[in-house]
Amino acid sequence: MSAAADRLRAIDVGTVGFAVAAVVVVVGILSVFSTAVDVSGLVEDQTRTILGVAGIAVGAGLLRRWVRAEDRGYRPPEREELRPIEVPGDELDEQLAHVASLSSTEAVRYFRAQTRDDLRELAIEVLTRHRGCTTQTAREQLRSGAWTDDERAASFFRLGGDGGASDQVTGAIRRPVGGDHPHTARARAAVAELVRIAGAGA
Amino acid sequence: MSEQSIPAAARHAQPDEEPDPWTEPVPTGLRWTRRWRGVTGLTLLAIGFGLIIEQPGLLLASVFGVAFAAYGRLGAAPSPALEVERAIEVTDPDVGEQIPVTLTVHNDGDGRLRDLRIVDGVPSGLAVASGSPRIATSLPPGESAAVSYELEAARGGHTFDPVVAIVRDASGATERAVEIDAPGTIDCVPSLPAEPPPFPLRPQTTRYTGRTSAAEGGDGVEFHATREYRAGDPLGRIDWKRVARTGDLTTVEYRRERAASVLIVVDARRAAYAAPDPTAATSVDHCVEAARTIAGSLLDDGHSVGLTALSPRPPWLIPGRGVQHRLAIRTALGTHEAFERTPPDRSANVYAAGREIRNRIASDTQVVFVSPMLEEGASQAAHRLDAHGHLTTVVSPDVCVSDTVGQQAAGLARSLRLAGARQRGIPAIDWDPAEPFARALARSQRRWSA
Amino acid sequence: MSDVTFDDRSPSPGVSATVGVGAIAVVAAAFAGSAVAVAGAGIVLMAVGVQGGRRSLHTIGGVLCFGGVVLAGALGAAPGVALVGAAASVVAWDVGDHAIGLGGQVGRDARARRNVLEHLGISAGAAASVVVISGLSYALARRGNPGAAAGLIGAAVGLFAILLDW
Repeated sequence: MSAAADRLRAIDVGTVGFAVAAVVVVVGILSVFSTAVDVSGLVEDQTRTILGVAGIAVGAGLLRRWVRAEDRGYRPPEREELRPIEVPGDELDEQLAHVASLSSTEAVRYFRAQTRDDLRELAIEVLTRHRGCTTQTAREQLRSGAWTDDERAASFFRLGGDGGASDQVTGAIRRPVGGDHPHTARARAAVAELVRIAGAGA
Repeated sequence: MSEQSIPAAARHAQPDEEPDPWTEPVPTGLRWTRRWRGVTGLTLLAIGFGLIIEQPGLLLASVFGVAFAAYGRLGAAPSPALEVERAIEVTDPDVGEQIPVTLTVHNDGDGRLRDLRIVDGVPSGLAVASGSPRIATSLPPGESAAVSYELEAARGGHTFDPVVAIVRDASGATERAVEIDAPGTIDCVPSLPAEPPPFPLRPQTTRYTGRTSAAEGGDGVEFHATREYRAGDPLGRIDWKRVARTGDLTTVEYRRERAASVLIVVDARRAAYAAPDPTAATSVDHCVEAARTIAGSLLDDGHSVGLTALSPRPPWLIPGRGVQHRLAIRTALGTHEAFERTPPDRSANVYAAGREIRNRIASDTQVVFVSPMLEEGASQAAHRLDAHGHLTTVVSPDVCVSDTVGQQAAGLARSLRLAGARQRGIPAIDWDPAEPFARALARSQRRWSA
Repeated sequence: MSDVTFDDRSPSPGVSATVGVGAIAVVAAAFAGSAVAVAGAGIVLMAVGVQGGRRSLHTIGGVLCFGGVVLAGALGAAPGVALVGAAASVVAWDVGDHAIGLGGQVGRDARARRNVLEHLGISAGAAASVVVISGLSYALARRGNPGAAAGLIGAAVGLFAILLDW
């Protein structure tokens, strides 16, 4: 309702209506205190109480909104530091964070698939380059989990390797303590294992 | 890659266009800050209580809330008439030097600006080293206020953005923001190194002879030999390992019949901008440093050197030699817009850029591709140039860190890319930017000592 | 690489100005122990809120401080004292909120002394005129019902404000 304009608000229909209501309330209040304005036929104790309670209710509601309100002032961009630049790997980390924090199962499934696909491409390249197997063999090894002894790493790529609902519960328990969501932990194990394989082969 | 359509919830989590606080326009015009809004609520509360418990004193106290709520309606933030002037102590600093800046704001209008806030437009490639580029003040007509702070110099041509002035009326209920142009530039252009170590070229040369020529050797074959040190030989060419071993001073010499024509291509695409930490020097900064050393080294050895970049608006210097050309390369590497800290807003098409490069250079030109190699586009660019007959060498600064899963994966992918390039016969120099490129290059000289 | 980051908390005379003016309200509420306790809690919250740039905490503190004064008035403190106390609590809230707003726009490290003191002076002046007008109306209306004049001013100005806000 408070639109930006280069002058104070103009009078419109809503304002006039409010003005009428305001006059009525003023008269009501006056009647409470002043003997000059006697509308005792219309105004009773009850009305006064109702007015009072209504005022409190509305006031309390507004107060709550006030306490929560943010400043509407313009906030200029922060120029003290250099403009921030992305760190390599931010995108994958963000997707893993979405798996851990989003509530929509559809979205979680989407990001889980994305992270798995991206890391699978990387894993296939590591296996073909450093173990000398073919792309097909590498894919099969990843699917079955035969590519590594580390159980957590293997379960990341294995078909049916995620817990689904049990993942969410474990994640909810671990997060307040600063632990990883199970999917992130499996991804971390898988990447660490891939780095090890690549390092040994180099 | 999965062909499923992206679920709506996933789309919300990853918006395509995130509003960039650096480029959002300043909202002009009169706006309400709604500071006094809650006071009205308080008033109703007080009036309500007053009616119920019949306490006139309460109503008396509620007058305040009410009066101030109305007070907030009475004013409107004025439109400021300001004159600003910026004094920059040093306009062509060295990298890392402190630059004192003083901005003076003068109230040119007739009215008093009771509540004035000023934010200076510090260039996006520079950081504040001390002080604050902001001030809150109150200016009667004709008076001035000064903002003093210091910037830390970084490579590049930096221009100041407009000053933002925010004015409020006395009660703070309305606000007006304006931008005031106050031009200023700081150019930090490092020079090419004085004694650069030699850079390993591939065996692709032109018909022209180089400055250092010798009789033997095949057509364009690179040949190393050492000879006795002569007074005046560059220190970067001394074989220090031999000095340590035998105490003899010998100089490494390139024996080359022919000079090479080399195009340095810097990867400055949007996808190539990255840093080990959001406010650290970027990959492009490191690439430019490497390019500077390479250009200096090759020019010293008598080769023709050119410069371009993968970028929407790249610099273009055809391979050449001479003092003027050297200066042009130095300036382009210093201040060209392609090498700014702000990444380009559009992604570049690697294939089109590669084609453009091939169209512009001679067939006997070899390429040094300087890139962080963070995604497939970089590998594609290098491989295609090499495959089309311009023998390519890759120089890659390592900006990967390994704290999180994503970062480790990115680092692993990058080393696979470098290995892939080497497998195709493209030499790839993996450089840790913790040390200057010149030093890393000098260290790798060890393979030339017998 | 850079040592300076933007600190969006309130700049320097903010806390002292808020506490300085708020102290007047606490003194005015000294009529009753419970009132002082409430007003005192309010001023502490305001100080913490301004120091940390937390607007909601500061606003709650302001409401408590004002409430403490009103409580003192309800328990029988002199109307003049309640008036001055209420004025002080509103001005204290205003200065604190102003300082928090400054923090968001210019930050803790910026020079802001002149701005804050000027704002304080203007708000105090406005509050003082309200005290004077209300006090006068109260004194003049003593013949009739004491609350009438104040209630009238309150209701009329209040509704006028609501009119323009919504």
